[in-house]
Amino acid sequence: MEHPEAGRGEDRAEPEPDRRDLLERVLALGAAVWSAGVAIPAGMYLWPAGSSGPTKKYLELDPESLPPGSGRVLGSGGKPVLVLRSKDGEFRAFSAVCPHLGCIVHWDAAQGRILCPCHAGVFAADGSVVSGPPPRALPAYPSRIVAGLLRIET
Amino acid sequence: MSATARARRWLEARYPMPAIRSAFAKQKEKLLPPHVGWPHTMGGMLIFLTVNQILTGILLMVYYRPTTEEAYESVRFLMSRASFGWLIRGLHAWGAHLMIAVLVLHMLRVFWMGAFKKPRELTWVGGVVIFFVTLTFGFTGYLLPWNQLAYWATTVGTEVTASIPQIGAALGTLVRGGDAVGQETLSRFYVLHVVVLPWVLTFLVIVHIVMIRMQGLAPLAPVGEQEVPTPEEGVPFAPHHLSRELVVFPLFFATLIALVILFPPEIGEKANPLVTPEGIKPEWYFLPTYQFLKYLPKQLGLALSALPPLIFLLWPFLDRSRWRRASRRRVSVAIGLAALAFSILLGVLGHLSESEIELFGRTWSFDMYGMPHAAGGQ
Repeated sequence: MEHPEAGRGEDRAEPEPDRRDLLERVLALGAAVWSAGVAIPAGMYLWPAGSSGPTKKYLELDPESLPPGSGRVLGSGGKPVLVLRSKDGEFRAFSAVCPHLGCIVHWDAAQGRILCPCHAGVFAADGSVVSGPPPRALPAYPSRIVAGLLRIET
Repeated sequence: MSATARARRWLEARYPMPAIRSAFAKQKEKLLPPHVGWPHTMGGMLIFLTVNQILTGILLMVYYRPTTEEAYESVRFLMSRASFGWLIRGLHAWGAHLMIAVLVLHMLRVFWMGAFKKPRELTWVGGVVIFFVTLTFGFTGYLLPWNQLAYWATTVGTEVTASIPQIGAALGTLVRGGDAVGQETLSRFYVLHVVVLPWVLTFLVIVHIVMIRMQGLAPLAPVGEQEVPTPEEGVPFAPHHLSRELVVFPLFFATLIALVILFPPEIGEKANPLVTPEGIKPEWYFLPTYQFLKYLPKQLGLALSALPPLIFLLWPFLDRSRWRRASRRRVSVAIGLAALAFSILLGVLGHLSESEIELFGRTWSFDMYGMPHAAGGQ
């Protein structure tokens, strides 16, 4: 037996697009375009505009302040740098940020290694990974003596 | 005519007061299923904690200054100089710990009693979202005092985000507001913590309560049976259940105050972006994830650690039997208990890792995996 409202249901399933439908669609489209128009600038605003900190691209250090066989972490506008001086006086500079999870490494003179305090990452004096979770070596920075000062390009 | 009677008449002349009154009376007298008891008071305590966090948070903002130069000093100042500042910060910090702990217990209660089943699946999903929002509250609030532990826990936490394949680097930059944790991060976390998240949480909590009130508390009977308690077996919310809440509340509040006084939250040293202290760890509720990530390669660990929250969120659509009682849902309950036990184990290993304890006259040092090594005796 056919349901008495079956016919009407079919009519409702495929209604003729009328003016009200069109108006609703135009309004929905308008709302979507407007939302995107508001959301895109807001999203772009949230993207970091860059730090307001110093923009110097290098960092300088008095070479005599670092005795042979020692190391020190220096700051450079939010970019920490590890400077090492080998026993024969040679300087090396690395990013002090551990490539594992961003902790600051330090020079352990007794072991002659670079250590990360967070997850026991160990690096050799040339920045290469000895053991632990770091996925790659510490990035090295070029350094040279300019006018009596050690200049590290970061 | 008394002033209250005049005020009532004034309101009655303007608003449908009888209808408003009866709507409240209906909620007050609403019948609850007969098994509703003490474990059901945890929802009420969570409402109290939410209000506590909002009020103490507003008071903290009066002195707090969200800059890397002044944040640490302003927290020190409000703790040592402002009258009862130590109490306000203590209530906020311990309130946050208790909120997470009670949320976990509340969810365990709902899980155990099968209260997430049809027709309350979305109430569960909303509740899990509230849990995630609360964890985000914890993560963002932890940084605000700008101390060493907070700074480095945030560095590691955002680095974990940054190591998600494809989108990670951009997401990390967006969250931190730059390449490293700094002023931009503090500003972003502050805005999230004091403006965005409170509104999101308030909205979610209201929806959660309305859903519970509309559908009533879940019975223990199988899905589709005894959905509405009969007048003979049901117990009215007030005074029966309300009196239980009124017994638990003073005990709970006393516990909170006792924790603040006996274990005042510390502040430690000011953040130093050039020195990472030894053995930094996240808050206790992140310890299981923190420890889990140590055992696996970074990306695999991340992918696997995203699974439990997802399963947790969608649990009502996985455990679809009609039984609510735990005794009839052995597999489901076993999975839940195993997950809980595993989390606790990881949490304990995370807590012990990279620390030393003295036990029976011997010093044990735990490596990063939480394994003990005898470090020498006496």
